[in-house]
Amino acid sequence: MFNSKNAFMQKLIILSFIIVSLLGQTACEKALDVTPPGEFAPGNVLTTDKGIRSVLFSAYAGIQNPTPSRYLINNAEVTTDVGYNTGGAENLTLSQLINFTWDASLGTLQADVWAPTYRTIRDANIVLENIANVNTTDANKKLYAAEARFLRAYGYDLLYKWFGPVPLRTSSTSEATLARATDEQMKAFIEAELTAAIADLPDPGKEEAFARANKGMAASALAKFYLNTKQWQKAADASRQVMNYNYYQLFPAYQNMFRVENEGNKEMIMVHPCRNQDGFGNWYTAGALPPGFKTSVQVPEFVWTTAMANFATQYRMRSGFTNTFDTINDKRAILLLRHYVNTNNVAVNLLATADNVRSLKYWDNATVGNHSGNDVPIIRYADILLSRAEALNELSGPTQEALDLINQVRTRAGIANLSLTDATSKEVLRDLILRERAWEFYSEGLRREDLLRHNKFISSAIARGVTVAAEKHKLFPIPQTEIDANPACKQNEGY
Amino acid sequence: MLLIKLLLFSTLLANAQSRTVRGKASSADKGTPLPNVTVLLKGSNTRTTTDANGDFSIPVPGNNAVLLFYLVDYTTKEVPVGDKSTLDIPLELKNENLGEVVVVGYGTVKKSDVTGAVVSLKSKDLTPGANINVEQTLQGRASGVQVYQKSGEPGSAMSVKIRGASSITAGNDPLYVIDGMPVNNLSPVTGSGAGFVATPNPRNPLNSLNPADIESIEILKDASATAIYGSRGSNGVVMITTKKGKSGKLTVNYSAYYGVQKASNSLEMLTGQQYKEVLNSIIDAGGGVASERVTNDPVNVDWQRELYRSASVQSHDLSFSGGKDNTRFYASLGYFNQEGVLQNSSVKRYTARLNLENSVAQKYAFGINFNTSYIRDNFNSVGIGVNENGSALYAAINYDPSYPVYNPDGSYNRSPYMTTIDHPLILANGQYANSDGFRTFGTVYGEYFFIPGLSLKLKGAGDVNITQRNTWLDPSTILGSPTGGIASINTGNVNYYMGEATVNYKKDFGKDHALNAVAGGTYEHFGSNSFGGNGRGYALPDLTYNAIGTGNSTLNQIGSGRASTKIVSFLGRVNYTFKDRYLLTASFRADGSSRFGSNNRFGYFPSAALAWKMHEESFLKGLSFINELKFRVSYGVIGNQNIANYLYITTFSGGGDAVFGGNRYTSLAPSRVANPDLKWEAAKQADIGIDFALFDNRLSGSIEYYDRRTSDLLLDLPQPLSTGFGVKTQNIGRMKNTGIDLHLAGDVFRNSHGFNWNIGAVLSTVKNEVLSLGPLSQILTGGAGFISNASIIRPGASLGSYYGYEVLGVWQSHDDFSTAPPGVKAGDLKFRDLDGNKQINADDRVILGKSLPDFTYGITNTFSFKRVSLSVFLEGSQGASILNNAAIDSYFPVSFRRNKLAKPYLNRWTPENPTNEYPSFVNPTSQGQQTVNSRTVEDASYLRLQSVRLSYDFKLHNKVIKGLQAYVTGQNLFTITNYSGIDPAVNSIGDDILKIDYSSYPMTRSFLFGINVQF
Repeated sequence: MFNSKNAFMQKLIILSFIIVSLLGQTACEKALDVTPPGEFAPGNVLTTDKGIRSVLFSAYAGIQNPTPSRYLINNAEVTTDVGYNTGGAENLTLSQLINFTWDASLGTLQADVWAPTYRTIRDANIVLENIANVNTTDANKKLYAAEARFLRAYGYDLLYKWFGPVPLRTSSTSEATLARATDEQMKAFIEAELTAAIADLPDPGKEEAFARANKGMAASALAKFYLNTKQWQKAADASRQVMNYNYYQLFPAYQNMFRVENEGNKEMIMVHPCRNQDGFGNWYTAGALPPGFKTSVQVPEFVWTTAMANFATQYRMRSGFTNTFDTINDKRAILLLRHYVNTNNVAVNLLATADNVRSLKYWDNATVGNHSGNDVPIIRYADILLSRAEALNELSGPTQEALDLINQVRTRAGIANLSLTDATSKEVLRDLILRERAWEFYSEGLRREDLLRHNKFISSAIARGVTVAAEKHKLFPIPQTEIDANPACKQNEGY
Repeated sequence: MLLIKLLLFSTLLANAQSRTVRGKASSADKGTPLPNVTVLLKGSNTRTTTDANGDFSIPVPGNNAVLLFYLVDYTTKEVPVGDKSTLDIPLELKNENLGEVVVVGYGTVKKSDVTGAVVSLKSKDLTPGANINVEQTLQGRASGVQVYQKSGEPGSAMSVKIRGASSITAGNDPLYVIDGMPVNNLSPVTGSGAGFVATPNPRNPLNSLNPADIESIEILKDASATAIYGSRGSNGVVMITTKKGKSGKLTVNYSAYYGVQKASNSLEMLTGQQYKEVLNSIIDAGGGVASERVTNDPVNVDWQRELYRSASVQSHDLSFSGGKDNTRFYASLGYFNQEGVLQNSSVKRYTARLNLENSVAQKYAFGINFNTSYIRDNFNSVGIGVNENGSALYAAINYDPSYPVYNPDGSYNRSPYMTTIDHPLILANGQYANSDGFRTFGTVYGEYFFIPGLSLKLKGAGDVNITQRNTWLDPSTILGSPTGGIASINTGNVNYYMGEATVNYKKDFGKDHALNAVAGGTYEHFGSNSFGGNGRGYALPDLTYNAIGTGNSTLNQIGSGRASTKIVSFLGRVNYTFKDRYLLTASFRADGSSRFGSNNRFGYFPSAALAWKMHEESFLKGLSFINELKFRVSYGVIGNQNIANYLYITTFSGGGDAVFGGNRYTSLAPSRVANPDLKWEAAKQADIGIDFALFDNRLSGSIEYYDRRTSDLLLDLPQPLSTGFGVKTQNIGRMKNTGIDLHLAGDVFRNSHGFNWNIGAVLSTVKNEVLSLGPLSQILTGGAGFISNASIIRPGASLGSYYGYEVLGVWQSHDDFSTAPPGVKAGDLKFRDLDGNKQINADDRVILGKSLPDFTYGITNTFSFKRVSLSVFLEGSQGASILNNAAIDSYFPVSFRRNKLAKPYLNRWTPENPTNEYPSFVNPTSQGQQTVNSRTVEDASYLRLQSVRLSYDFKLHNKVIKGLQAYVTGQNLFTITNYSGIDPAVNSIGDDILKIDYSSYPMTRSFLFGINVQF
């Protein structure tokens, strides 16, 4: 018995040695090389048409930024004479903006503006660096490169408006530590890149699908860039170029322009595209609805259902702005909710409380929870008309041409035309244009840049009683995380 | 081949026989014959075993032969044969204390020969009575181990930290090793289900192991003990050994308990009547929202009580053990069923185990340990969501208490003012999840002794954990209603296998030298697969996730994941003993991991320890009151590799979709900034300790001091976001943990007229300090719900430091408002304005406390008188803080009509009550929302009467029943604390370090009755 057991054990030992030597084989370094089974290898992504397109679409996603669009709106409006907010968690952020007490740690500056825009820039750089090696047609190479250049330049324009000059990354391998560009470098880059992109982009309406870049989008972005940097002649010319495409036009009924069924109408040059789905929703209405909103006389088609969220936070409009409206004639006031019926069927008068009118610009009966499907405009044709009017006025004072541009917008709104008897001087017309822009573009996040351009951003804050408002507030601080991680990037003055 | 030759050679030697010796082995105390005793001719391979009568015969070469006698549980005997031809061999049962063996990595050592910091707990030392999970048995029992229960949710993981926290981002949980198999604690299912805000607290990965199957737990604390586990040892190692059978008759053991549990606490919110008075008077004072005045005739609903219930817990364990000839077995079946004290939460566990061993001492051993389990979890919504995403308990704390729970027709009644927060009972019944987890793991090993003392051991281990989680959001809930219900199914498996070969060598060289060595290699593979899908829009929601495909198919979403990792290791250890007084242990491990790039794939982890048994020295022999006095010191390097896979490889993964023409288009974005130079986090740990036993072993214990410095921290270093990336995992920064582990055991009374009283106490201190963050000056992190950046990590401060605003008091009418921020009125909170700029902003933040305690302690008193025994266990923690979200929600209400904590609001500042304690709440956000402040960060020190157990031993000795004990136990009976929240030990955020009480699942108080019967 012993012997047979010994034999068995000897077999076991031999087997053991085989196993151990096999173990030794697997122990070599190569065995530890792994290929991530759930991730894509760079080779495939960066050399194929579908791969590079996918990276380009990631660049779009950062700029499209659908759900954070409400912060892009509110951040640019509660800091002005138009918007206001109380309650809910978003007030944590917005109260700092209302009171001009923000600092570099304010999360929205990083999460909703800085980070997604720089992700677009990163992906655009990857596309531009690799496009030459992609196995696709030359036409596609040209198109993708032009789109990437447009997205990158628009991203820098956006950052420039919020933060001033920023680190100008034009390569995906740039050093993590990078100083900010100079003001001149920044402006030159945006201008040159947008101009270059226009050449290779398709004509308006010829793009593959609405919201892909086209000549009109890039030219409009360039016009707005010139306007905000007060390059009046160039702004007038660039907006003229947009008009000359003979594609864009004002949507007839202002109050229906923002409806989901009218998406992609010819007034919408560039938008944050939204869908009533998680990750793509426009949340503005959920914040704008007053407590217990059910229906209203102003917008009777919109009926709140339990399927729609109504946030604890309250996006409100300042009385100082809403009181200026001609609510009888101006169709744009229809979407400014003044009275409603609540879920207890009690009529509530929002005018009874100061700064309590609500903007229903993005109402959607198909809202699912927080998510409304309405696109948020970035640049509308009305903006191009008013931009050209403003540039012309700055160049040569009130002219009939400028007034005609403004009157196109006023006519659509249902109010009387302006004439040279109203616009008695450059200064008067400048103020009329600024007022017109407030009426036209509330809840579209343009007010901050408009006031800055008219040098009223600080003075109007002080007039509202925000005594701490100071020169430094004209720019937002660079997010603290960037300052911490990129020591070469110096903070804006005063922060 | 050399070994085989050696083996053949020794066989030849054994054949050079000349005569036969006969004899009988018997038990020394009873004189009964002992079968199955291995008889071995020393220095050869010649052996035999005794027969049923204890008789043996063996060939011996001459008159100098020495025979060795081995039997499990008996002391090995060495007998020179001389010229005798018959031998009578009495064998003595091992004295448990003298021969007690401690399990260490890849082997065992005699307790008296331990050189490292190792806590050894036998099953009798573990918290007696009802242990719901393995970690609970350790609470307050082992010095240097801080165990706390984070939540009363059935089946949720406890926090176990050995000697503080050594890592910032690479995890701080110890490595668990069950019967020699390192446990991979990755959860098979990662997602919580669409729309379902699940608790970030993980499920307890050791739920699959029945605590009743545990024979012993060894906790390896210092580098000398843990370095043999190399790259996974830096947070300490918990070695769990399961029960084995003993030769002899079949032993059947049945143990069971049944108990009831109640929530031990609830938050005191405003009653309906108080709510009306308080809210309306705030409106009268100019605050709140005028249109939200409470006008209804209020009822008083206590929403928390509406969710609580009295819940049962029961456990049944049946085990069989025994053995015959060379084979021993232990088999068990376990059933555990715990209802949660919140509706719709529970855990059920079915376990089975078989441990089987066939061995002949010093010749061979073969065995398997096999464990299989099925766990059914039911989850309530207990996450850290906000508003309509909040859990049932979040809703209960915040919901309007003035409206009745039900409508007259019996349906749930929502308050018209609560549109952003769901009815607590609708949430409790309409948002739920469950999971079925099947986990099987085990080891198979074979060991062969070429000669006594030299063996080769092969071990294989496998672990497969398959889980399916189902989630349902009913259309009756706010979240489920927009899409007509949301159903999700997430499945996944985590698999692991290991091969291990070790050579063990043990030999005494003369009287003075003894050597015990092990060397070997292991190969380990870790894999995971997951799949998840969800659907929406159910016209008929009756079948929930069971008919996930019956929804609106255009809304379906699916996803999957797959990953694998490998580790290859080589290890070795030598224990050398000189004169049984001076002990040296040296160990080494080399680990290669696929988590690191080829630049730094292998890491090397050496350690050494010295021990001196002073009590063996002649100069102490005269001092009879000293039974043991051992001094030991150790030093070593250990690692941590607990980071995500593939961080060194550049790849692309799915990015956010772009939308064109109203349609979604998928995209690809770079997955990460790759770091090809990534390497192990290394901890250098020094340890000195003294073990002692005095006065006839009446007072014993140990005291240890350790200093552990972690460098090359695996830190998710924030990148400039302008690069397009958030973080890059880098080896940056250093951290230090120092502390004292104290353990004392004393017999106050020993057997005086049948009365015994003994005390066991442990005390563990830990001081954590971040030494460097490389280029960063600080990292702001941590949050839950609306809270963000609650914590700061910076050099000089402890991990888990709360960072926020200091409240000085309340602005009073007569104060000088010239220094006040604009807009501040009397009755508002007065914050310290550090920079004096009349603004309370981020620059005014200071460190307000830390989440790691200064020390934790446990004291067990056991009184026994004849058959009755009473055990009282106290447990406590001192010096930790916690962030209280319920206070934040009251100080900075998200919306006016939400309910508030009663105490601050009933005692709020008014012109008539100019208190400095609580503000007026008229304008809570006048200075912004300083959510993390010295009022919401509270002291979480506590002393808890954790368990009282009264047991009675019937001392039955009849033919059928060999033993019977019965007991009653009360758990979590009372807590002394200054904390105003639900419990000072809770943690809702699943974080290792930072603690936030965010509508935490309440702790339970339970009363149990149990019996143990042996057949």
